[in-house]
Amino acid sequence: MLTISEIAMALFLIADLALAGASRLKYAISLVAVQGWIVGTLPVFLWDWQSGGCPGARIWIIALVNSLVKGAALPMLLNYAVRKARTRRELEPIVSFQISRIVVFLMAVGGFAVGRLLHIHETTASELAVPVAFTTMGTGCLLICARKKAITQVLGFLVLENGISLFGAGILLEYGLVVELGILLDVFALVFILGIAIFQINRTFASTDTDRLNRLGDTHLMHPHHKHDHVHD
Amino acid sequence: MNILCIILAAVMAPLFIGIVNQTKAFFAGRRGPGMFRLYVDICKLLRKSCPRPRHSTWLFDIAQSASLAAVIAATAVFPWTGGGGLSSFIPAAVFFYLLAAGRFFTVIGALDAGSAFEGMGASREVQFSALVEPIIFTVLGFLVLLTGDISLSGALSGIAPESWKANVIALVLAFIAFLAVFLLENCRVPFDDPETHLELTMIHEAMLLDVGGPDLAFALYGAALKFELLAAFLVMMFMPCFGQGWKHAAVMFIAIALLSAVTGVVESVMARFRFLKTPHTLMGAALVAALAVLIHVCF
Amino acid sequence: MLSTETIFCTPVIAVGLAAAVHATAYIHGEARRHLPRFWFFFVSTVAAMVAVVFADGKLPFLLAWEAMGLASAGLVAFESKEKSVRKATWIYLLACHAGACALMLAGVLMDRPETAIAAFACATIGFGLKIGFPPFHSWLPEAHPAAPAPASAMMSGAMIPLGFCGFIRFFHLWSGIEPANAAMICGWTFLVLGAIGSVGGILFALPQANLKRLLAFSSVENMGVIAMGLGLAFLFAWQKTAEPIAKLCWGGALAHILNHAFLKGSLFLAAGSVLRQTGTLDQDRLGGLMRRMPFTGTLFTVNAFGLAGLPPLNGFIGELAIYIGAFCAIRTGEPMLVGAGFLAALSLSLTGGFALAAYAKAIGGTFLGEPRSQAAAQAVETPRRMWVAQLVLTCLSIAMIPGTVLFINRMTGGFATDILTVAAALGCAFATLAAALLLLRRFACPRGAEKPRLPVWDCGYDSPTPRMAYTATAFTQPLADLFRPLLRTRRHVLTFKGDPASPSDAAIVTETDDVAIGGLWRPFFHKIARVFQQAHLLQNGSLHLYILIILIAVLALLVFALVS
Repeated sequence: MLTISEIAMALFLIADLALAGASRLKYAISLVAVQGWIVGTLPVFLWDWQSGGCPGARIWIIALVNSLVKGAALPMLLNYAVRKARTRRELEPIVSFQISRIVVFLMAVGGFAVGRLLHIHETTASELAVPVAFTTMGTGCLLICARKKAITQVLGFLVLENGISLFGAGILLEYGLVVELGILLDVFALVFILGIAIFQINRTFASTDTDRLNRLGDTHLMHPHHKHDHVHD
Repeated sequence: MNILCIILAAVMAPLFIGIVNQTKAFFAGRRGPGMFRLYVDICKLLRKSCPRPRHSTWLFDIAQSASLAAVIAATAVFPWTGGGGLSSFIPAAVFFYLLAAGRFFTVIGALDAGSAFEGMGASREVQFSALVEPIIFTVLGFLVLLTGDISLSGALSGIAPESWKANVIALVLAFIAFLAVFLLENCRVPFDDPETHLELTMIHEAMLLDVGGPDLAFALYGAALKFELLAAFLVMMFMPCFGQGWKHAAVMFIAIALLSAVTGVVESVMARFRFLKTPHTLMGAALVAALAVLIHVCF
Repeated sequence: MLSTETIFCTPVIAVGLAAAVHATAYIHGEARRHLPRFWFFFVSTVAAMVAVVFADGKLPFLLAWEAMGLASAGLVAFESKEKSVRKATWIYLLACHAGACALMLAGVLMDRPETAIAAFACATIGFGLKIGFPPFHSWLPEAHPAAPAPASAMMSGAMIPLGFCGFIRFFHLWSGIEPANAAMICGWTFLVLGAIGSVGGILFALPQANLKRLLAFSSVENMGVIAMGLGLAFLFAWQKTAEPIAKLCWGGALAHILNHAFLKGSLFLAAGSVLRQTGTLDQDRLGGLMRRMPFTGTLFTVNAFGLAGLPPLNGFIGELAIYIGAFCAIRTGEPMLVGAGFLAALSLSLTGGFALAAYAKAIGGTFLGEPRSQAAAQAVETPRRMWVAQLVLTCLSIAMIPGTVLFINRMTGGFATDILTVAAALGCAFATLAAALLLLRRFACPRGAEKPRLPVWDCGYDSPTPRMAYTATAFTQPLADLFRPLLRTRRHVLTFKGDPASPSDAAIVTETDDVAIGGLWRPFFHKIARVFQQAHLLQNGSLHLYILIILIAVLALLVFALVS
């Protein structure tokens, strides 16, 4: 059965693929924002309008808060951080964009396999929710692990969070959302702190490349090839 | 009636290119060359003589004719009326192999001229056509999976309106993937820019640098026909089955005209992708097609 | 019903005869002194191949197989004065013997249930070494360019497919396992190896500058296509309801063996003609041969078109049967068959795309444009019997257009015959249409107006030289670059020497070696060599040690005898 939520899920999947292949920061951030809007408004679409009547104020508020925070506030913050930090506006991949996309596709295959194994079709609001949620979480992890810039890690956390909330919204509409709001708060704080931290780090060291940040620890003796990198004060 | 529709399709092909160009002219605030410009061009070119490069052989002479013949053969098997005729026999693979045969002759003709630029165009042509093959065949496999029919007309029009609704997500994904094929094969923005006609950014047209007269007319007409064919494939693949006969053909032509207008809009508002990024975009399209299969299999 | 023997024997006879005619002119000049040697090995190879096809029982088969390997090794070694030829012969002999060894093991192991799988693995290695399954294909691109062209035509067209003949026999005799399981294992092995072989083979064919190396890699590709057809047939045979589809795939694969034999045989003969007339096979140094060798060039073009699997020629119809099988597999909706169908259809489509590029390159680089070297510019047409040999094979290919349809019809008993007939007719319609358009073009041009010959568009460069035209390597460079991690093309850039203000000499040479040799076989054999170097400890020339070893051996035997 086709509902708006399923179209949203398909969009989510494409956004995951696009994120894995996105080479520009701004583009990636807007993709995350799109995901945020979808996830935020999803509770309204998943609501069983026919039998449930008009949803209560709680759902509306949660949807509003969610989409505003994820679709507007956090992306704006990230864009601000990018602008302020004056980093190069390209994602520097450790794993190439092509391979990342294939990995995301394989994750989707795995997600669908897991979704079939779990047999939670009956309880979920949307059949696609579980596999898409898994894929999105995987994409988030991939962004965290396989990109160099610190800001991509923030992006990755956001995508991961989108996946988690998708999972929550898809499976347990009522209770999930409460838990979900809690997580949202965590992530919001995290992103906020990271955003400020990146800005500060950048002001101090003129770079937010995690390769170079590794040198901040006392492990730099293990990376002889970083000897040439100068950390500017 | 089938044959009438095929003839109608063959006659109307240059019109759709005219629609694209008029749309672009409208967006650019120009008057435009008119819908029927390509007809005039073709008639004019047919009356000219064929110049030949100094060192070419008989392959150069037959290249454009053979290439056009392949595209016409593909037009003849396409189910314009929604079924019947040859299209209910042959698998969809034959359709694309005919187009590939046409491409082979164009490439050989370009190489025969022995010019660096045509070599470059031919090289790009074979590169991208090789890369779109997996997308095409993933989409074909998806259609066969969806309809349970391996014939061209069956795979394209076998979706009943009820099951269409259930499969629309996968269909949309397949549509997006094939849209990339459509735009690339017809050298449209964002993969290629027909405005830079005969320049070095071109994939297809660089192969026609030394072609003139009736040969050029054949090439232009073949390109128009190919545009119409792939647009028709795209439209028919996506739309649910809505009966056969005239009604089908009429809806098809209207939809192709709409798609041409959309192509014109896309060309007006978008810039060309970086040339070296094209393979990456194509890989993305292939993955989207694979997603369509995945969603269909797992649902 | 056509017997397996007939199918496998036809290419041996047809290609063998054509190659023999071609060889009478191919071997010329100084090399004619060694003609008796050539004919001895040539005739024994043909005889051994016929013996392989008709051998009854395991032992005669193995004997014939070994004889075929040895005799053809003699052919490969024909021009043994050159170091590269000796090396290629060595590799070929190694492959032959490793294969025969694996086959003997398979013969011993195949009857017992507990060793059935091991027997299958041995048979896959043994026959795979002849067929050119990846990664056992490494001898093909070495031996084919080294052998004289008639020999490589015969080896590529008729000898390699005999591996399938052997496999079919093995499958019939393979008694230690349930038929359904056997078909499953066979099916998936063939399908996966075929998919890798077809796509990988044509991918490696793309950047090759040596025409015969390109053709050799393309043989790997075609064997992959055949293997995929057989694999699908096995998978369908396992399903009782889909018997006609199984037979369709089977027929398509066997028809492709015939088609490939005729087409590839002719292509190799053409490559031989080019080598004889110009002295080189480097496509970057050839070009413009179509005007100088019109018959050879035309026949090469026709055959290359057919081998690219394009309508209306025979290669297309055989491949179409396999395509139909793949789509039928997708249609069933069973996850396993859907996977198999997608694997086959995607590999076939990728192969088709790359094959178009590779053959366009082969035609364009060798025959079209302007000559890029003195040798190519001075080439003349071959003696008549050389291109007549090609013509005979080409005629057989054209006869195989309806022939393939009839052949598959006989195999399946009518299933899908209508589809194939329509497809073949469509191909003919396409050819007719092209002819009609040519006529239209002729009459469209105003009467009396001479078709002018003009210089090619040069973008403002005054007097472009042939060196400026796109070379064969440049033609495939974008695709080769895209798959660089896989192909591992090596580039040697020779920068200009002397005054940098007037750059004169600059060149780039690219080489694409077989990745299986560098990545697998060389390390493998190095390791073996290292292990066997330890044996030098035993063979150090001292008599005392030898006597000690003998004593120990005798004692060990005594102990063994007492214990048992």
